[in-house]
Parts: sequence; structure tokens; C-alpha cells
Amino acid sequence: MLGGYNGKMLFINLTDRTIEEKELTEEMARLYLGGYGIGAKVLFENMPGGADPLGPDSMLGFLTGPANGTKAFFGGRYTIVHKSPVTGGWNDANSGGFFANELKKTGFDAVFINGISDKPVYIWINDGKAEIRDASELWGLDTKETLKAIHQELGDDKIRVSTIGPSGEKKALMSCPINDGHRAPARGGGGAVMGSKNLKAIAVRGTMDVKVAHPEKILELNKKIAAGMKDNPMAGGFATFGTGVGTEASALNADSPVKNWEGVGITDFGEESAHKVAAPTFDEKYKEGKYACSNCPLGCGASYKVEDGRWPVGETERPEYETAAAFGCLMLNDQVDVIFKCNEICNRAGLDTISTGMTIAWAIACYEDGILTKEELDGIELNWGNGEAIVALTKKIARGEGIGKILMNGSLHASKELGKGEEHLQTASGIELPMHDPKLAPGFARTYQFDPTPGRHVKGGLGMAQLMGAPIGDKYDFDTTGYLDVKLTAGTEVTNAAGFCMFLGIVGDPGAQNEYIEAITGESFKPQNADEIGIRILNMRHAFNLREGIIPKDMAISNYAVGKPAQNEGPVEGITVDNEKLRDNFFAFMGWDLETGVPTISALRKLKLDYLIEEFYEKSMI
Amino acid sequence: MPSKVYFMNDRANSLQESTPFKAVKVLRDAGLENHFKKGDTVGIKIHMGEYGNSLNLRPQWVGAIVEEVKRLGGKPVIVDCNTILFSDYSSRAIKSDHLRSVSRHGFNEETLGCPIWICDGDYGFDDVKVEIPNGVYMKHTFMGKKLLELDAVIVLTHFKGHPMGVYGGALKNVGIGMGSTRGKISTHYLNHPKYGIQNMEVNQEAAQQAAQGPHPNIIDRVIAGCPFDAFEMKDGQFIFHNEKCGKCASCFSGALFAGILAMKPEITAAWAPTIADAAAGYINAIGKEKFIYLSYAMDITPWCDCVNFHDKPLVPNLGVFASKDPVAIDMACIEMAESKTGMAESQAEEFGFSEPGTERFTNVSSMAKVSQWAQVNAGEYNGIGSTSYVLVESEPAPEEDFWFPPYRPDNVMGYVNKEALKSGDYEPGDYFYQLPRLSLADLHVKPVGKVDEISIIDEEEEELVHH
Repeated sequence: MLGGYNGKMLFINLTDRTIEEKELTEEMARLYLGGYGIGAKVLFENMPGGADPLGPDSMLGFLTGPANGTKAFFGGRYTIVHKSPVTGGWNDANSGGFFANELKKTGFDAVFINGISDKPVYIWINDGKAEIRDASELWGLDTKETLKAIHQELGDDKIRVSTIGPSGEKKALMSCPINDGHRAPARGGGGAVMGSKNLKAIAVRGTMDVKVAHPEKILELNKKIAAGMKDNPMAGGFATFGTGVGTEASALNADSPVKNWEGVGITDFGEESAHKVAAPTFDEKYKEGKYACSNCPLGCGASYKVEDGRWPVGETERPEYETAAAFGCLMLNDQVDVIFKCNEICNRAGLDTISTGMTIAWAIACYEDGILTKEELDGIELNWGNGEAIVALTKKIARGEGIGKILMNGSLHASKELGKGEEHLQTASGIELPMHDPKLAPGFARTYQFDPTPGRHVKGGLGMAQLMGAPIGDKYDFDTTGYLDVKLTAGTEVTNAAGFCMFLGIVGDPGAQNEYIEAITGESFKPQNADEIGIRILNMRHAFNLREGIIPKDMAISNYAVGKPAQNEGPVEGITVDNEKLRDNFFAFMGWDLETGVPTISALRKLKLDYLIEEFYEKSMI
Repeated sequence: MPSKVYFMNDRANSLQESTPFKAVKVLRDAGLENHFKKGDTVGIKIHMGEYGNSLNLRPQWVGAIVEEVKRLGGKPVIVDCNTILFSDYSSRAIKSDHLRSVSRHGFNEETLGCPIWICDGDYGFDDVKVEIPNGVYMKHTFMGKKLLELDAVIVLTHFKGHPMGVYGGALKNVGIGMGSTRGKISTHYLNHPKYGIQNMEVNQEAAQQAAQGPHPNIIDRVIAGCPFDAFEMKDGQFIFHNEKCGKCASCFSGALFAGILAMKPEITAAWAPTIADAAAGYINAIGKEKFIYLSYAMDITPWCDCVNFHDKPLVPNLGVFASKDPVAIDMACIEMAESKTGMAESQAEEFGFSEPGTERFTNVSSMAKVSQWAQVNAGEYNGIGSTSYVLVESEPAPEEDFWFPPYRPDNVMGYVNKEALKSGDYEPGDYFYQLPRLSLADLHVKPVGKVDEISIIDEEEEELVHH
């Protein structure tokens, strides 16, 4: 086997409680790399098209990549894959912390779970052995409590756990597993999929070595990256203040959506408010220490102690940018204790803070517009910036009580169930948008709308490059985008599939990713290999959606996000994003048919995805 | 169906294994003898190298093919077209300069034994529009008009890397080489309504920096060099009057490649496939069956012979290839180049692409790291050839085929020149010492050699101190 792989995958059926080991072949490793690359391949083969994401045929995967379990910097992220109960299409989400490395060191590269257990269970994987254990006692505990309880039950506090909280148990569509108490593959409803299987958690403990081809080369690359980061001011900013280093600027420069995407930061939120909810403002008061995921030289996280304010949550974590923006300027909330409290509620309940924040912002917009009444909101006066109300509603969502039982499934679901508020939805293919406005970095529009995992800011493409100010030409020139869009997406596919964090490219060294993979696997991995594998993985995820019957016209994005109509003031005044052109260009360079979405036969052949040709073409056409 | 590509490697141990004669032989094997009729005008399309380059095709590599065409009864003629303006001293952009510069490289009627046609006229304007029926990027382009007079074409190519096309092979020898000025500008997308120079914006920072240089600096030259007076320095700002741009690409190196005009990054993705598109246009216009291809995969430099210098070759010499398929011959050259370890101290080694299979043209030659497969894939899409091929190893021709004329086995030199040779005085006299005057140690032991290594800057400083 290539370095960086155990060559083994676990397949667990919770209905009949079988545990099977299967080989992860060298061919799979070479073609699909790891993480959601292998995940997409396995789910395409093992999950029937059209399966109910919350039914027994639904398959859920926890995957590592070749970087996990090695000493490679930034190589500490695992991925979950499944069909999303939110979008009805492909879903993947990844998470840092320490779970990825621990899972890899158990001797397995991936765990796939299908079936439904008749009672709550968790999966315990310990150095080459796996068992299904009773979780009746754990059911109902929040994610932090579950972590402790499993440590106690198994008598080892080095065990790493990815667990759902009460929200996942209730199959809330905004729910997610949380690992290490506060790290989350949050988006797309993975918590509901676990909950539907009566699967509380996956607990892992591994002490096995992950063999790599050139360990000395990995250390050499680590040294190089550490040295480069010393002189990199961006690295300094993220290391000190985390992803929230730019929260203040983002709220004002139109990066962050404001007032449920319908407002303008500089006028609706204002400089003073933007300053109040930015990490650099409150870090000094609350920061207890740095938090770094495994193998991370940056450490963008921080542990906090909050003992004052209306909600002294005690030991907690610094909210990430996405959380701070969602519970901040998006709701016109500048009370930082609200953000801390909501972050803590979501982490414990196992809720995606982006979707939760967005759903609350949608509810506020509806309330302010008179679409939702105080009565419907269980008496909560849900005005813009009303901190008490925001916390109260977050609690209701976490508990699935009253209006929270409807809202816990996200804004689209709530709008459908209540039969109103559609005009305030800010979604892509049904999932809430993240906190980067495509009007400022238009490439995000294509990614949000047409990535097989819609509504994500970490799926590559032009958006992030434009946001970071990369010299890639006029960002509002919509005619000339396809080539770079595909190239930059392919690179991110490799980052994600290999188990790297996107900070490797942002503050580390963009070229190091391929060099790490070479050092790990012992095989040549040059830019062209990255392009090919990245495009193959992208096609695999896309193919999963095609099989679900999702065609391009189903891939939708809300109008505000693309400036339809354009805002009439602020930094992106007058900007409309030509998302149709972005799609046309991207599809042309991917070889995807604009109507059917089906990739060309020749592209699939080149990518060694011949089985997809059989899937999508009539025999007579081949 | 796979095409056949005939090949002989770069090793040699006899006259018939000399590079140009192996070229003749693979060309014969590929079907040259039946390729044209007696009396046909046979164009030999070559690239004679920009002034300053010295690893372009050698005249004797071309001369051997001229002689072979003559032997087979054809009327050989060297053909090429003018280039766009690569620089403020481009050597082949107009016919008179073109002929003058290639003469320096040893290419003229006397050395080659046949005429040289520059097929798009004095300034590259004598062209015809040709359709591209199945292009990836292009629908039509423009070709040197005189090329239509040819009865057959031998595309004689120097295979090497290329900064825009990624590599330069048979497809590029046709796709760029047969283009008129307008054709070349189109193929490079430099007049494209979106990506073209006329749409580019000034990178003011780069312009201001360039303007600091001693006069006449790049900015002065760009302003003076634009035939349409589209550039101006006004109130300290460098201005490009886009509306005046005549799409002539004369500012190609001065403004564009110096970074003074900001290029849209996506244009770089077009450069390789458009070469195949244009090649398809020219091949179809002249007649696909009239083409045969010979490639010298020697001196495989990172960049093309249109560059006025050359860097150390990326990989060792491969040998000679011939085929009737321009896609297959390029594919064979690239694949074989890929199978070799990079040359020590070349850019391949410098940038970490020494190992076989690491795509040196993609990663070292291409300015924008565009795939080295883009041209051949586009060529196949255009329907002018196949990327799958069978490599046929040729055997050398009989030695006497290549004897220096008029000598033949039945007409040897001593016989032809008998009287003259007999008349010479061969008596040497007492010209030698009885014993050598240096010991074996004196002769065979390595002398001191280098005593120091300094740069010319050190030397100049030393002189200053001395004075």
C-alpha cells in the first residue's frame, strides 16, 4: 500500500449489527486520494440512488485522508459524507480537532455506516477492533457531556469522540456531529443522519503507526513552513485572533452579509457595532489559551472563560468568524455575550452555527416584516439585534421546543412548513448560505450554487482567491472565469480529500500540499496530478447528485446573494453577479451539459470514470 | 485507429546513423516516396530560428531532406511565414529581415539548394482566411497565401518546449508557422474581443517602474513602437488608448510580456489548444493528404526557437520521428521526452521535475503551467490525427545512400581524383625527435588548472583598487 494509508475500511450495518472490513485498494488511493474522494466513490457504489437520507439505505461515512495521522502540518481534518437531508443531494463536511488522526491510528482509513439500529448505540473503534455499544445512557446528553461519559465508560480520556447532541437525536436538519467538544463537520445535516440511525457517536482510540514513505521529507517541509509563517503577517493575525481576525472589517466591507443579506454593513450595522463583535476587541478579556488541532503550527482556535454578562457560560471556545458573523452583523446583534452563549448552545446541542444563525436571521426578517407574529414565535419579540430574543430562540431550536421544532430544520423547511417567508430565504439549493457575500467576491456565487455540495465557502473556486486579493484579474469580469474557477476548485478538492486544512495554502505554502502528498505516499504528485484527481473527485460528487435527479436548473441561489436587485449603497453598490455566466463558463470547462449536467463521455473516459458513462448514457450513445 | 510513428534514436556509429540521414530514412519509412509525383512542388516547412537563438534546426538537417526530395524528382522549396513582433528588434516579422536573419543561421538558397518562400508576403499581409470546421476555441484563422501553391508539404520540425504553446512540435510548426501575421495574432488570442490586447488595462505600477529606466526606456519604446499611436505618457501616467489599438500585437513583448499591460489569466488556457485549431484550419485548406511530418527531437530546450536565446535542454536528445499524423508524432515526442530523466543543471532539475513522468513541458516550459496534453488533445478533437500510435523503430538505410556526392562505391574518391592525387609531393623529411622531450609524468599528470574563481564584477573592482 502507498504510504499514508492503512488500506482498510470498516463497513458497519446497524440494522443487522454486522461489521465488515474491506480493502482500500491502491487503485482507489491513486484515483480518489482520500476523504470525500473515496467517500463519493464508495457511496455511489453502495448506496442506491434515491435513497431516503434518513432511511436504512442511507450510508454515512467518516473518512480520513493520507495526510491524517502523519506529521504533516495542517493535516488534521476528517470528513463525513452522506446524502443531505437538507438539499437531497450529496453532502460532505470536514472538521479539525484530534479525531482525524486518532481514527487513522486505529488502523482504518474510513468507517461507513448504514442501516438503523433499534436502540441508541455508539461505535467504538480501538486499534484494529470495532464494536457496536449500547448508548442508551448517552442518549439525551449534550456533546460535551457525551465526551466525558464515554471517557468514563471506557476508562480512557485520550479517546476521541465525534458525537451528536440532542439536536441530532431529534433529527434536526441543522444538526451535526461535534468532535472534541467543539469542532464540527457542521453543514448539511450529518447530525440528523446519525440520529436517524440511532447512532450517538463514534469513539476512536488508536496507537498504531501510520507508515509514510519519506518521514524526513515531511519534517523538512514542516520546518520550511514554520519558517515561512514567521514572516507572514497573515499567519500572525490568524494565529492570534483566529478566523475572527477580520470580523470587523468583513462586517463593513460587504464580505459579511448583514441583516439577513438585505442590509449594508456600514449603514445598518455601523463601525461601532462591528468593532464590538470582533475577536481582537474581546480576546484580551476572555482568552485563556490557544487551541490548535493536531499537527497545526498555526492554532487558529482559542479557549475562552466567560464569567460575566448575562450568560456567564464559563469555559467555552472563541466563536469562529462564521459564527460571529451569523450571530452578529447578520442579525444586527453587537452584544458579544449573545454570540458566546449561542455558540455554546450550538456546540453542546450539535448544531451548525451557520444554518442556525441564518435561520434565526430569516425569522427576524420575517418577524420585522410582519410575516411571523410574536405568537408564532412563542411570545419572543424577535427584533433585529434583540440579544435576549436571539438567545431564547437558539435555546428553543436546540431543545426542539415550540417554534424551535420547526426552525431546527432550517429556514427553507420552516418556510415550507409555515407556508410563508420565502422572500427572505437566503439559500443555495435549500441550504443556508455562509458568511461571504458573492457581491464582494463573485466567485462564491458559482461555488455556492453549483458545487455538488452547495452553499459552502470552503469548496475552492474563484471566491476565496478574490477575497484574499489574489492577482487573478478583474473579479467582475464574468466572461473569463471558467478555467481558473475549475483549476482553483480542483486544488481545493485535493486539500479537502487529503485531510488538509485550507490554512495550509493560505498561511503555509500553496505548493507544499503536493510535496507533502509525495512525501507521504512515496509517489510523484505534481500539479497535473492534483488537477486530474481534483477534477475526478468533483465529477464523482456531481455524479452522485445527477443520480439523485438533480439537474442544473435545480441548482438555485437566492437573489440577494447575487445582487438581484443590486444594493443602492455601500461597498458593493450597483453590483449584480452574473451567476448564469459563471455557471456557463464553469460547466464548459468541466464538460458538463448545461441542461442535463451530464459530463461528456470523453471527459469521463479521460478521468477513468467509465462506469459513470454506463450510468448516464444510453448504450447506443457510447 | 492508432497511427504509425517511425523513429530512430540519437545513438550513432556510422554515416547512415548520422542524424540527418536517419531523418531521411524515417521519412522514407513513413511514406515519402509515394507522397508526391515527379515535378511536384514540395514545401518543406521549417522554423529557421529567431536572431540570437542557436539551437534551432541546423541547415544540414534540412539540406538532407531537400536532397531527398530532389532525388525523388520533386521540386523542393523551403516555406515559412513572417512572425508577429516579438520585440523591438524582431528579426523575422517582415520578409526582408526574415531572409537576412535566417541567412545568419545558414539558411539561404545556396546552402540549401532550393528557394526559400516567405509565404505571407513582405509584411505578413498576403493571407487567406481558412475555416476551422471543428475547433476547440476557433472558427477560422488566416494562412500565408502562397502556401496554397504547394503540391505536398513536409513539416520539418524541431521539437522543444514553448512558453505559450507548452511545447513546440509538428502541430505548432503548422498551427503557428503557417499563419500569416493576422493568423498568428488570432491563434494567440491577442486580438480576441475579450482577452485581446485592445482590451487590456495598463498596470500603472509596472509602467511607472519601467518609465524610471534610462531613456529610451521600455515605455518610450512602446510609445514609439506602436504603429497606431495608441500609447501615451500624460501627466506622469502611462495611457493606453484602447480605441486606437489596431490589434497588430506590436506591443507583444514591450508592453504585454513586460507586464505593463495586464493580461487576463484565462487567455493562457487558450494558447495551446488554439495552436491545434489553427493547424487543423491550415491542414484542411491545403489538403490533409498532402502532409507528412518529420521531427528532430534534439536540443529539447525549455522554450521555442522563436525566443532569441536558448536555455539548456530539459532532457537528452531523443532522435528523429516521422509520421503522416501530426498529433501522433507530437504525442510520441512528448511521451518519449517524459520517459527520460531531466538533464542535470537544466530547468527541469532546478524546478524539481527531473524525474520521468513529471510533465516538464507543463511545469517548466509553460508560462502558465498549462497541460502539455492540451495541444494533442485539441488536435485529436479537430480530427487531424490520433493521440494513440504505434511506435515503429526504423533501421538505418544503406551507407552508400549518403555518401558525399559524386562519390559512389563504383566511383570512389581516389579513382575520381587519381591524376591530381598522384601529382602531389608527399615526402616529409626528418621531422621527428628520436625520443620525446617530456617525461610520461609531465604529459599524463593533470596540470594545475583553475587557481581561483571570481565574477567579472570582482575583476572590475580589483582593477579599480589597482588604479
